[in-house]
Amino acid sequence: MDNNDFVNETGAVEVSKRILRLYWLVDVSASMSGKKIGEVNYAITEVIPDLQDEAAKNYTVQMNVRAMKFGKGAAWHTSETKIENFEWTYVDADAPRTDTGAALALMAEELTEENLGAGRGLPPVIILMSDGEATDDYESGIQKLLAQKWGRKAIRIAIAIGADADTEQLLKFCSNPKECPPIEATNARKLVDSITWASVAVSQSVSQAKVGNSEDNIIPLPPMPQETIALGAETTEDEDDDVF
Amino acid sequence: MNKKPKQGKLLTNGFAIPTIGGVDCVVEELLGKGGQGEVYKVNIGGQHLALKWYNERTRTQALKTSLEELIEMGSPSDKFLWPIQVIECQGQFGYTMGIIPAGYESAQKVQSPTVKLTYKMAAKVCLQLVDSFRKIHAKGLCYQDVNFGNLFINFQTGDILICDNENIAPHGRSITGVIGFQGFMAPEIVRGEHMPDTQTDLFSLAVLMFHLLFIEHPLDGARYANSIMDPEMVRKCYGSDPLFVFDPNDDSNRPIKGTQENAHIFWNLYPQFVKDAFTQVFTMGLNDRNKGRPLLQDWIDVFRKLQENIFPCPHCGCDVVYDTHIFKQTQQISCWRSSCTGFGQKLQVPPRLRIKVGNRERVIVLNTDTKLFQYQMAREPDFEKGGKIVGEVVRNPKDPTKWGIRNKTAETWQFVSKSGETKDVSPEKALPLSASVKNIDFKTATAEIRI
Ligand SMILES: [Zn+2]
Repeated sequence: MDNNDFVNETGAVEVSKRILRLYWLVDVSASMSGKKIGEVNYAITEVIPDLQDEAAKNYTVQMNVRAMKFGKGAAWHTSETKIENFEWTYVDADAPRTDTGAALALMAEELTEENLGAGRGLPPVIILMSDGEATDDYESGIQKLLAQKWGRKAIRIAIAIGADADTEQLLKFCSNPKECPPIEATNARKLVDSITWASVAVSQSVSQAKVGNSEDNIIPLPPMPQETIALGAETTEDEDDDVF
Repeated sequence: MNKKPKQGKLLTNGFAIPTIGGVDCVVEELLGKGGQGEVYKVNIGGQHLALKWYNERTRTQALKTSLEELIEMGSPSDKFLWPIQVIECQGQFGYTMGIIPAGYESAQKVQSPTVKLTYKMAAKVCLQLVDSFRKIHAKGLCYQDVNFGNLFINFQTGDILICDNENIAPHGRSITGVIGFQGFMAPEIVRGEHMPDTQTDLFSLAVLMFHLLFIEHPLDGARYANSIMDPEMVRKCYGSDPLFVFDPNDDSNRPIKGTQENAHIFWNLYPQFVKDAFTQVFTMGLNDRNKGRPLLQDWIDVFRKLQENIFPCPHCGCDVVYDTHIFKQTQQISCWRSSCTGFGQKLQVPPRLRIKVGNRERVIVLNTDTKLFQYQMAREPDFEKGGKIVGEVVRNPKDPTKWGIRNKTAETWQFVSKSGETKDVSPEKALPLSASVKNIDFKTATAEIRI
């Protein structure tokens, strides 16, 4: 009897996977327009195949992704989609405001138990990317997010884009402010690297259920990649070091 | 479709690294990446190999020394993708190993809906796995990083390959800082009480084999149906308060009906002696790390016994296991396939050979193609010679309805015939398979035939 017959006869069912949700919250205020939003779009496009590769190797975890944009208010840019079917459509940045508070409130609505169920999931990963200071009620957004069980358990990572980002505000969003304060992406390469790291390496840690040595309830984050130059690379002028 | 070669972050495609052998190691493309570094396909003098290149955090002198020791020691068997050579460049380093050959796939594939191991495949895979661990432990080393990602299986042939062997280190020591993979680590490691050693290897190996046979995790059941698996829950599940999903005395963590249905399906398919071994390691073995866990030899016995007790269902031909536990309870062995006419019915079981060596006994189902092996007859089986064939089931050329066991040894076997006469079975002659054959003397073992 070959394998297919055997599997059919046993009545084996598809493994029910634990769901890992990854959220990208993208600031689309006008100050993001041009290079910054271009880099965000680029980074997300680049990271999708990596996430899909990871997903193809993992039969026990289903990764779903969803993106939100916030500027004048906040709105979902995509629906929750299995990573294997996910395609990125570029976002533009032209909003006159930076309503980060609204983004967090919308995130809180997503993370209710009515919406996600009581459990058998992995802590969600939320990546907040912003280059400025919130123009609305940031504090109440944070409160709403942390009022949700899934929100409290989430790995919350902030990426501060450029020199004007309000890192102090973003720090309040971070789930592990000590070891992973807002990542300061001061150049294009750092921005791409940090989006890649937060999306791929962090979700890997979550799906492998890594725990730290201490008794606290914090998922240890993998170290950020250092800026390295691949051996054998042509040494050309580094065009990535502009402050933007 | 021709895919563009993938580019890694540590090495540039096309870069030629000079090696000690004088032949350049040319980087061709990125094969994969992980927490420790990246793996590239390289070409060294026309030979394609995999090169694992470490990132800055991982490349330590201790790791390099350890790799050199492993290379010096040489591969314990052809089941390992063992490090071949350390390659160094500009203060960085990595090592080469063979590329996983076509046909081998990640063991994790058993969790895909279309691939499961049959009894024979399961026994073959687990025996190779256990034997590989035996070879490592015999050198005073332990594997330390047992998980699905490090095992590759050829699902057509049942052959295995073990990779990522650089974490292999002396008992109780971790070279790379890797202490294991969550879910595969022994509870005492999760609790922070122990470093990886041979005892924790025994636990991790059992988790891996449980996954291979029963698909789900042995400790992650109904208790966690409504939990978000955050570090607190993970520690409880795998470390501080572990509970086997099939614990005979506590059913509060059974695999979730429907959701983890595969565990129920496959648990019911396996004979009691297999379930007993897993029950031991995941009940007693959770806390008693010294005496509670089946040893490698115990697992070898379990999976050999599985191999020895498979027979084809006379109705449909699929493999069925002769489970003495079930037989004693119900006086019958049935086909497990609900679509077979033998489902729930008493099957005609082939003759069995009950072999006694000292006070150890084993029952072997005699199929038309059954071979007897040296390990079944020897008082202290030699691992390397144990696989030698000492007998085989054959048809009587003069009367094809009659069967016998051909003596493939150099010794003369003896038995007592119906008339009470002692008869010789010289080498290459066959012992008749008949209920009237008594007191079989295989020289190193005695036996009875059950028909
Ligand atoms: Zn049948």
